[in-house]
Amino acid sequence: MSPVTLPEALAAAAGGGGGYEFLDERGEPASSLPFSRLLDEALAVAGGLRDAGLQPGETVALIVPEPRDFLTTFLGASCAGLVPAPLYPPVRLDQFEAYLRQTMPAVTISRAAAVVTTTPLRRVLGAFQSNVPTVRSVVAIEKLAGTPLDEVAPVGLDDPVFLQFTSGSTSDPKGVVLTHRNLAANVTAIAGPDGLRLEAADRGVSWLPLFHDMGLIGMALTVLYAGTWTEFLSPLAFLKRPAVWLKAITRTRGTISFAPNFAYDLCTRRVTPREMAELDLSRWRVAGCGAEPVRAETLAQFAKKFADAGFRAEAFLPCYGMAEHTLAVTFPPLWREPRVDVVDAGQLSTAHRAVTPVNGQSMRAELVSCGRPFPGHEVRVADSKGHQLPERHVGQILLKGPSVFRGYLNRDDLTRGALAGGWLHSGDLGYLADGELYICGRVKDTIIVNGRNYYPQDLEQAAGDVADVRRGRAVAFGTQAGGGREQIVVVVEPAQAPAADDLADRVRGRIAEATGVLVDEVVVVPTGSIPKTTSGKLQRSRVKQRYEAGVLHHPRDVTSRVRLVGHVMRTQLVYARAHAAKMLKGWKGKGR
Amino acid sequence: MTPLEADQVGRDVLGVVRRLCRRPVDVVAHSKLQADLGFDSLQTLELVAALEDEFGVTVPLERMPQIQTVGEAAACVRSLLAENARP
Repeated sequence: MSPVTLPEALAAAAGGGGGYEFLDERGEPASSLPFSRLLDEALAVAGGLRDAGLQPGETVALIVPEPRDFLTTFLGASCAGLVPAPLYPPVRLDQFEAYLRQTMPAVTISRAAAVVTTTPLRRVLGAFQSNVPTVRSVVAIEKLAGTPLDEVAPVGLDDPVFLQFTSGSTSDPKGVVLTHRNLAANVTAIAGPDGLRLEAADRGVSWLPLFHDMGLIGMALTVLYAGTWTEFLSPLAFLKRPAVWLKAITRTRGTISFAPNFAYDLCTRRVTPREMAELDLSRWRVAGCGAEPVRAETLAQFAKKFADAGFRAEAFLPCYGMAEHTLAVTFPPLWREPRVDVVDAGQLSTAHRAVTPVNGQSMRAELVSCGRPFPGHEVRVADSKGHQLPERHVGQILLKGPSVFRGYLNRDDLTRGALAGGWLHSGDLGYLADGELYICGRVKDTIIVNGRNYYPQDLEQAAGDVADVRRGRAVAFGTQAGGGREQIVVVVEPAQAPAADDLADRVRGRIAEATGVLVDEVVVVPTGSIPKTTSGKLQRSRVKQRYEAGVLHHPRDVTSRVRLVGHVMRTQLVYARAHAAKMLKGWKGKGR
Repeated sequence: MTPLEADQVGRDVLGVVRRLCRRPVDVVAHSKLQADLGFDSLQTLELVAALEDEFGVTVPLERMPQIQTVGEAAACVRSLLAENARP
């Protein structure tokens, strides 16, 4: 099958049977949007955007919280030949100044011709027009009026399809430019014979936010190209009551659902026996796990707990991906229990080799296979000079193929570095074994002391073994801020305040015991001091920056904790408020 | 603000918060869930779900931003119970 553009895929899907269904807070169907109707709505939005003066090829920033509105606007912009750049909606309407400050750099670098948003948000987002020279208007989707386009705009496969602003620094955002060809290559690989093998009978179920690549590309756009159905659940509903996700899978007979590692942990911990009794997960054939490091223990505990509900460990699909590679990089074979490689932890850090532990005394590390690259795509592991390494040698993961992005928007300097030598430099460390990829950490996070490499994850996991350390709130990094050799610093949050006096000593002891590493300093910080990225990875560099700047202990330094969770919640709260405002307006109207 | 011990709802809300709170601190009506009691955003949602189970109510999404303190959680539950009692 030859690749098609996103508008062409939508037009083709409109003739088939798939679509999107939106579930309410309890996981019951609230509204349904077959692709045939989605095309009509998108063409109406496209006509409105054209009449608002937007020309094909121009970029529009999208700040639309509600999933249904977001999808029709995103696809409407695409049908008009525009390049949408989805951005996270504001935290709270009463804190919009901070939001404007944080979002301004992304809007500026995107050179957006317009900001497309909702009526309630438009009131606070007007500042984009006066502060960003390229922005000619801030458009409210409810006010879009015009003649619907007769057909989707002609765009080329090598034209940009949308911009993704990846997690990380807000002051220096990096816009990932994907082409229609990238998107088509990746989603057809995901859905195809070496991927999910999607069929008409499949049902996707997703609570992932659509401002996140796994939610947008993985759950929304893949089914658009494949012509199947996906159910969307509010992220907030899932976070409030994790069982709602599993109930939605039960009720809709869901077969495909992806989530980060933490979501599986949350279900293991929070789903009650009474909720368990209502679950039937026997049709769930692909339980994807990605967007953050996959832990063998998490998968094992989830599989054990939900076996009674018909869940099978063979359904797990631990995978690896990144925004610069559109989304997915590797998948393991379908319906195979997660493959766990038990290796010598010492050899992994000192010799950068993944070898079988020689005896019972050596420290072990358990890594989960993320599978193999898709046909037409290549994965290679290379040393710091770019030379390919043999199997079971740890190096940087390099990628090649039709899913590799075109570059960072208006940042040729960064693009040249990322695509040096014709390979995408992932910045992730890993190794191949029997052709399957195992992820060990990030290149820039690696701690090097006396020529030895340490993976911060290992130290963090050991720190997390100490009962008084808050789950998932341990960050390790190396620093030369004090001059001299690199110092290893571990920052932890206590499970409860005040922290026990000997907490730092116990963390240091446990890390030495588990990894053989002597940590130079353990810093115990107040709850909420450790931020995460949108994909859930601990933001080591930010903690390190704060440590080096000497502001780590400052109680006012508390920003986001779990950024994915935080953004999801805030986004949904804004949506809820907007909804409440709408209802209130309607009520007032009736009263008159 | 109504003292939490003044009615059964307040006492029950207090019980739920104490059960979920991991800090050894006194829980009072004006205790802030996040700053004083150490709840993170996920635990705050866990508390809302626990209150729903305890009182048989559903806290609508738009009410959640109003729940920052223990007293506000109790007030929210009281008003939801009152709304349910109305014919």
